[in-house]
Amino acid sequence: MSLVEPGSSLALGGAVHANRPAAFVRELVRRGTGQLVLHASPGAGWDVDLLIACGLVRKTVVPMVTLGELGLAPSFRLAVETGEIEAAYTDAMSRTAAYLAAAYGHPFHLIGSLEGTNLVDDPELFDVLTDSDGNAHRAARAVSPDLCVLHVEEADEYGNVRHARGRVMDVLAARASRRTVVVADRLVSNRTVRAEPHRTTIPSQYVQVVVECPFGAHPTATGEYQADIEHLRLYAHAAEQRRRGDAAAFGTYLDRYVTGPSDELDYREAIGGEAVEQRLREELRASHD
Amino acid sequence: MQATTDELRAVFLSRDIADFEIGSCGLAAPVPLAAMRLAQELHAPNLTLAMEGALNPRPRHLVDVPVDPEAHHEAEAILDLYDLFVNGERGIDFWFMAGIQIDRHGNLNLHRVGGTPERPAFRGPGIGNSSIAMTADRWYAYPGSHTPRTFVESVDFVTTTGTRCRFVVSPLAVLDFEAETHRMRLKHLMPGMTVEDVVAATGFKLLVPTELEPFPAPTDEELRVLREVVDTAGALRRAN
Repeated sequence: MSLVEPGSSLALGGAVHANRPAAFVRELVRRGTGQLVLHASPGAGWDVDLLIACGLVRKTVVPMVTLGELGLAPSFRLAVETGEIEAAYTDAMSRTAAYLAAAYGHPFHLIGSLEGTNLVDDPELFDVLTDSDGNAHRAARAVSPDLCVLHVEEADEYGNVRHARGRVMDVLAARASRRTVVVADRLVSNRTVRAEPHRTTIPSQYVQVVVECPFGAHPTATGEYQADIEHLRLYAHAAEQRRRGDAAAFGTYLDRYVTGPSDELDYREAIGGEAVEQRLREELRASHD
Repeated sequence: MQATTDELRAVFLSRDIADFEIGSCGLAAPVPLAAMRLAQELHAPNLTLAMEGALNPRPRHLVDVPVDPEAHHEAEAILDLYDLFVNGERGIDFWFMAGIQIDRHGNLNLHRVGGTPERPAFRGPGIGNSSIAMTADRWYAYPGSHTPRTFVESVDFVTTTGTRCRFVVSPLAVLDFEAETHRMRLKHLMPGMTVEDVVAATGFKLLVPTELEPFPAPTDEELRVLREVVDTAGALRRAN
């Protein structure tokens, strides 16, 4: 956790309700590391909303912040509408271009598809380059976050990553960021990785730190367990009450699930232990039978 | 059971999809996903779904969030965002978007309403992929509501331009665009709606042709496949 300082920029992995680095986010809240600049793509939800509600965010450069079928992200809305945080107006493809540029070590990557939209208005995110024939080209400025934080299903001790299902922006975010932390549901042996090298989705070259944390994406999903929609609904309700001026339910949520539990073992007991984990695994299995 | 508005919207959109095309959609997926899956089952078996996260999934039910792991059921490949970047820059056949505001030219807003950019009166969710709407041959708008607050004279933020918008399929009507001016025009009324209803619900001057074709009714076969194969959990039958 000492990799994150006040003011750090973070690239959070996964998308919406899937593969969010939730355990890492809870620990950030416990430590109160603030003034963060958050990148996450293509969309973020519970994690970004929670960090904002806890006052730890200065700016978001996130294409979409949403709780999906549970509605808009209440704390994101409140903080932007009251001017408490800065929220860049952006989309996932220009963020992809920005990560591609950083992965190559280039200052820009061209993106031709957004002309005519207001998405290209932000001079911090875009520049216009002119070629020797005098043609102008829109270019996304490179973005190299201080730390990429991913939650994946498997990794070995050297940081070879094996996603079980969705990868979304993870592969590119790791290549674009200065350093990458991988939180894995389980560690597998380097021998296992070597026996099936085609299953490695991010090679260890791009990963500096590996942490084993079973069920650490909860309340979001991985390729092995379903998102805990009831838990997310509880959060959405508490955050919406807070947006409307009553922070009691949100305080209870924090106390029960974030600041109350001293670590992730404690957290797993707080959410209902083995029975809940079993149910969410079975729910995902049933959707694929 | 009579078809719901969302079922009518899905069937209408499915008929506009041809075999061998490549299509995609983002969040709030039930209506567009139903349209694409129904087309695959009935007349476009070689349609490719280049979804955010996976290629050609066959989710067991109409998921809201296509990047959820359950949405990848029976997919042929897991995709990286880089694959979508390629699609967004080079263009695919079609795409769908809902939006919080749309104007007379089909410009769509998902980012903010009112106030200033630094302090908007309402901050929308934003968007995953704007590029595909800008470069696809066509896109379809399927707004969840049709009121003077959502169909506006001009949008407060252009998330996507309306240039390539082909149809707007709202809960009240199907609208298209006049060729020369690309101004929004009434095409079909949803069952039970009148021209006055739609004009009153639209915050700009809508083009209304003298003769309106009736809304094309779904066939029994379309509704059967939609309900028994595509929308097994009844996502389109829940509201209205």
